[in-house]
Amino acid sequence: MAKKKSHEGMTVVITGASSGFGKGVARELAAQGANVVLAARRTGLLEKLAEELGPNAIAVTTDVSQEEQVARLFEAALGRFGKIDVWINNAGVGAIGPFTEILVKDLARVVDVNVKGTINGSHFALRHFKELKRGILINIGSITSEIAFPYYTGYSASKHAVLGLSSALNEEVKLEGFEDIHVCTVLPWATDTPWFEHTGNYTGHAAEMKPMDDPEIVVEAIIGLIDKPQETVAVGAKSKASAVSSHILPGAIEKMNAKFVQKVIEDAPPAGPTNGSLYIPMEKGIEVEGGIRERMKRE
Amino acid sequence: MANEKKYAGLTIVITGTSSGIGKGVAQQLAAQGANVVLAARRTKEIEALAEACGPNAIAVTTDVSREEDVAKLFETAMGVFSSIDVWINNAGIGTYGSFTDTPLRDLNRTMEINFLGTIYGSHYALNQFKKQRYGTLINVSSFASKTPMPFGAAYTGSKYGISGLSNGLYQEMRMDGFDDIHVCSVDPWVTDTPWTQHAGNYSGHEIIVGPADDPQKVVGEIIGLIDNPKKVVEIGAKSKGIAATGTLIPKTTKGLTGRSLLKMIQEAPPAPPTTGSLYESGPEGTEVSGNLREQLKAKG
Repeated sequence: MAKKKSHEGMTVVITGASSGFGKGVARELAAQGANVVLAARRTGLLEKLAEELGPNAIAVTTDVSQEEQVARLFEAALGRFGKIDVWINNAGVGAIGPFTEILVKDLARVVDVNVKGTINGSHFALRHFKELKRGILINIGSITSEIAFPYYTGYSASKHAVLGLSSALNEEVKLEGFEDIHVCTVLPWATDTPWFEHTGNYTGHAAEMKPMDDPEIVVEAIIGLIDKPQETVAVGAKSKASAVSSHILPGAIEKMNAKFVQKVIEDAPPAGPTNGSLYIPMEKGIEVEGGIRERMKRE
Repeated sequence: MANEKKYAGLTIVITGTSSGIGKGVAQQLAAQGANVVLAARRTKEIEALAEACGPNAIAVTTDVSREEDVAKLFETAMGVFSSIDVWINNAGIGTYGSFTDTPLRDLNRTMEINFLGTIYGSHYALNQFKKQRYGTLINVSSFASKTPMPFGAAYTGSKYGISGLSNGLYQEMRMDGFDDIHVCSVDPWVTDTPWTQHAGNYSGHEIIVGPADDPQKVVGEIIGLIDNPKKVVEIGAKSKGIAATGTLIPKTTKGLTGRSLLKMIQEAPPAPPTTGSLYESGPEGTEVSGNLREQLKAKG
């Protein structure tokens, strides 16, 4: 494999590494020789992954919404590897359903994890990058950063916030003359990861979306940014199409999309309300893939 | 005046009424007969304003970043006036300066006041509007909800969040058949309010950015939404220009905005770092207008 060991010596911090994109990115980067610092709340899963990935991987239990835990993650990474080249704020949670049906504290928790978590990680990463005068910060947005998704409103708004923050930061570091510091935002379409199992859900139906992308294409896009940083990258055919057209006809796209989202929710099998993994991480949903496409085929 | 008392009987909750746009909106609506529920952290300011507005105004000390405060605001409004026709999430604050020079807690605090505060207010308002089957929710966002503002990254993020929230809620109301519930967001350009005196500032310089709009222009547009709700209203020639170009050719607009902003920061007189009124609201800046236009004029 040509790419083998292509990231040797590079230190990469990845949040949300206990499943989904984070786990996929960690595996691939470790296979390519990178030092990986794995962060998530689920200590058991992280430690198992670190063991699987070998001596250049460490696990640091982290709730990204807690500033002191992100500080500890940063210190641990620096202590073990001496510097950080890439920081990926990937950890994210959801709460879906009609806005007024979702508990206010659940919405606040989504903001704490997705937005404050990204601010926390970005702050530690960029302060360090400015000392080194180089580094790549990758924040995970979503197609819902650009198109407001009804019934995903709190989540969508949190991803809008991530995109605004990251775009401003990318411009800011450039204006400050840090040409080798990059702030990138990834905008995936709905992807088959355990997110749909972990999300808080008050829709009355199982969480799913159509179509669902393979997480591998998002993992590749994230890793691609390390070699070729870009301000934003939309991943998946649907995401690319929507992102482009939302700039031209924002109202029409949002309206069409809204009807589509409502229909997908109504067509899904019934399910009871849950706060998912918002407060307490779940035992299930431990792979890169969520198995949602499989489940939908059976439905 | 033909319009006098045209809002008699309407109950309107307004956050951030101790100064700036919120105070201006409250003054005008009260003059036109509305019941106004004035929310802000500065008790003395809003009590004085309530007194000036007359018997149909009440003051409720509120830190919008605290859900329990917003709950109390909602319950007080309902207790006194029994329904809420319009809820305006206007309270907002800024942090200005390099992201890495700004203390992390200040960045998170900005997000709590602007974004979480709007989420809380929207939740209480829409729950009530759904019971009533009507109501107008107005969220005050910014031009920075469409064009990122370097040296204000947390602020930008918070305003992107507010606009994303408002658009999502607008769609939900349409999809769920609440034809008489309106969700509007307002994108003002830089406006001459005490915002610049209240912002956390780590830029090393005073906050002098322009051109700055007259706050009464924004006040008028917000009140206009009560009669004629719109999904988004962009205010000021600059804001409209950014809305148009910012979406179509984001790179160019962003570059121009950023460079001119950097120049304005560097040209402003030096100023020490401050948390502004992020945590404690100080006595300064209690009018609708600030001193930004004067400062810009002096600068020439």
